[in-house]
Amino acid sequence: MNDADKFIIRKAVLELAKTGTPRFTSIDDDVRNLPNVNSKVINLWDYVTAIGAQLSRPPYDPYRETISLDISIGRKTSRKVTLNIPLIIYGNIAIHYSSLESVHLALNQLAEKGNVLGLISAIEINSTRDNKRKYPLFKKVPSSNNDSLEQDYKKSYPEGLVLEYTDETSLKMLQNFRKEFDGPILVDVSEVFPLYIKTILEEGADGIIIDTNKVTKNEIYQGKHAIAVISDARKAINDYYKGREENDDDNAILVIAGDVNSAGKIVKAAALGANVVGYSTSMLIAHSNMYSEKPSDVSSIADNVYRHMLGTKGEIKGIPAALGYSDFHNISPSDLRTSSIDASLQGNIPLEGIDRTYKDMIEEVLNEYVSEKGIKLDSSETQQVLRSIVRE
Amino acid sequence: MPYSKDILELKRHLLRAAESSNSYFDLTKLIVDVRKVNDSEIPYSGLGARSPNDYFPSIKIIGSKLRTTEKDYTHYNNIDTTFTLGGRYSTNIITSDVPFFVSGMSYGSLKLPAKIALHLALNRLAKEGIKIIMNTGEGGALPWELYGSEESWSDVSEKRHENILSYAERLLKEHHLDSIDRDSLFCRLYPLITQYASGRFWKDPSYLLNADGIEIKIGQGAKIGHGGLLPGPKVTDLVAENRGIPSYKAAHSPSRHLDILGPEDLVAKILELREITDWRTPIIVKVGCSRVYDDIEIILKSYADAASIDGFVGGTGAAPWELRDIIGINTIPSLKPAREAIENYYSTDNRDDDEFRLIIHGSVWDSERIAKCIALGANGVGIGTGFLLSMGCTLVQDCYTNACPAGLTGSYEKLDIQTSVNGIVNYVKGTLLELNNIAGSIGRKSIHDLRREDLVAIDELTSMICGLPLVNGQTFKDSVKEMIKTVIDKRSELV
Repeated sequence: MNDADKFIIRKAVLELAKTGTPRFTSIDDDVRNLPNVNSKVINLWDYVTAIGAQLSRPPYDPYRETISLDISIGRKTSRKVTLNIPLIIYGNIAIHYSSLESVHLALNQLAEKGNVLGLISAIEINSTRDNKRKYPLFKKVPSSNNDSLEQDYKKSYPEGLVLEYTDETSLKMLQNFRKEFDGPILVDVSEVFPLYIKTILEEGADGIIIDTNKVTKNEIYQGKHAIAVISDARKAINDYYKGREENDDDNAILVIAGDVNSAGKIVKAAALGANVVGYSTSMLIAHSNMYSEKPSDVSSIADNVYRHMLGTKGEIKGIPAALGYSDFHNISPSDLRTSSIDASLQGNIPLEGIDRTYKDMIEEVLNEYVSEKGIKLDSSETQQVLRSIVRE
Repeated sequence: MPYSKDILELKRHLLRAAESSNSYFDLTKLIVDVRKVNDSEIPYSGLGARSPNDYFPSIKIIGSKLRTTEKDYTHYNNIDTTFTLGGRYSTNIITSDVPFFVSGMSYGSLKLPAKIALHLALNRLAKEGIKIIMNTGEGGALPWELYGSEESWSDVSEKRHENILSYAERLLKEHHLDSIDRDSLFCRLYPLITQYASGRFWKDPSYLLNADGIEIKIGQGAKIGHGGLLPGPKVTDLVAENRGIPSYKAAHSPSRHLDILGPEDLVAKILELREITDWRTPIIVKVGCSRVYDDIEIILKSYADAASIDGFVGGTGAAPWELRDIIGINTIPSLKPAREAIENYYSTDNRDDDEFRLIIHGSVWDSERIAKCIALGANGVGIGTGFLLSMGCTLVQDCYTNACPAGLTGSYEKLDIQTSVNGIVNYVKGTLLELNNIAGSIGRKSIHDLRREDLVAIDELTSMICGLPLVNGQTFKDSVKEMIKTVIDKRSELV
């Protein structure tokens, strides 16, 4: 129900309640006739839902049962970092140092209560003895840096590194860092996606970071949504592991940042294949203090970030439980449904009610047609026709 | 909701930060984040989810009219609109004069005056010859609902009788409703369905024995897989007493019945209820719409008389905001798999068609939507928000708080019971007239004679999901085949 729909619905029922006599037009007539109904700004996330557990699969109870959100970052040969909430605070937001300090304090408070989540940051936070860092830091390495780790990055003892992949020189950096650093190295490929994933993973990266906001501005993904980016990124990682099934304990993770800033989107991104979400809202909350006429102190803002994260954690636990999972990471693409052809095509998501993707439906009709007409199409021709029909 | 100054300030600052960073994509949800900042709790919301596509406007009933002429409200007054429930396994059958009924809305979620308005309106309609079913919701029934007839008191001890009347008096006094005529209040002329939910918020067997029907609620559309929820501030002493729970503590009913984990448990539960009610009472099983085919298949094989399915856009008094908006599927797409499950069940082993009923809820507010649901295979339709709207609901969706601009789910002093009764009565009568006109104008003698063939879809997706032809008469398959032909022909030309 958007505001225009609400107005129509209320007007229609009130008319009946007032007169008790039939109307000339129905709610649907009026909704259809709304001006600019097709020009509404739409976000495909809104057209995607998850199917809940009822009789055919019992739900879990997040208030009375344990729902695991834990995720381990680090491939077979790397030192592992475990998060209790599958979020790493990360965002391309220029924030004041004091805001970062608030995030730091909040993450410490959270970690003390067993809610460990990570932070990606290029800036050092001066830890005193009292507020020594208790959460994993993923130190962001500038892409221009070609030096050894010795000079800088060992000083802060980060649990992980984040390398921004811009061109082939980044590969050299990755190779160097891999030799020197035994913790997880995550590579942000937003500038070059969908290229280099296989190479990056072959060189020992422990995970890929993708900012959907950046990628959808690239030429290849212009007009596409985060759904398509996540879906393609997961496929690229799965393709890398094809034929390497003997290494089933070797899991490179996918970190998705960008347009994933609510519990619902976090769950949908996870279902599409994200293992961890790069979450910017905590930074935004800390940063919002700068817009206050009477800015609060660092610790009050830290409390804000802390409380917000507890609420978010509650939401993230509740949704998988309602889908019938005791582990957040068991959510899969098969749990999603969509009410949009576009979302079905971009994310390979089944349509609601028919449980099949739009492409599958078209393919079925195509097969029926060629069989009826006795037309022979090889697989590449079939794909070509399919692409023309679905306008891919 | 009347948010505090602090919350509004936080929202303003966050909005400015979001706009300057260009990294926040859904500004309508800023308030969700601000509320988490404020209290670290999961934010709740009321009524139904925001669905950008609920399909209803994309379906047309060919040639139907809501109103026949300017002067005559109806030409078609002999249309059969009755809806029966039960008889598949139950010995009793509930008959309603309309194919829609009042969905479950509990006392607690709704304030007492709104519940009384519904009760009195349904009584008035029954006196005027329009019997309509009411569902209690999961929060227990009110004394006059359970003891609204002479015979309902027959097995009640004197002491119990006194307790019931004393509770009723306290309810009325607390809500400044002393002036209500007790005789007209303690009279129920409409069929009552009581809800048997995972929280078991009822105190004695009369809740089951005095009901005309029982609905086992596995879930509801607005919070599929979550369980019922009444926020602490709404659990007043009197609400708590009715439910048998502590006051002012949030009532979270379990996400699942602790004794119904699978199909066999459902059968056992229904048989237990059948024994208790001596096989008299119709039993419905309600689920939220998700894996509709599988769930309906299970319900069909249990000893239920009906299945009730609730689209994720269905309303609620309170649900976690994010969970409400992302779990489940829309109402319309649920009807096809539900109907397929029923048809496959009866075609297997040539089972005789019996009195199994399919009821649908979620985003159904007016006659045309009711008619569309029936044409797509529903036998009956549950309406909640429509009834609230007829009492003045403003759709602000703050039903989880004690503040309601219309006095329905909070601020109960604002509600004028008599005006609300009139609104409900008119809403039902107007909707009934429109249903007569819809069926009559396309030549049907019964509302249940509406068929898929009476509908067309105005877009490809709706055509595909509902299995309806498009406005030009083509099916989804036809139009795709035409496109394929064009593509293949072009390819041949190139070759």
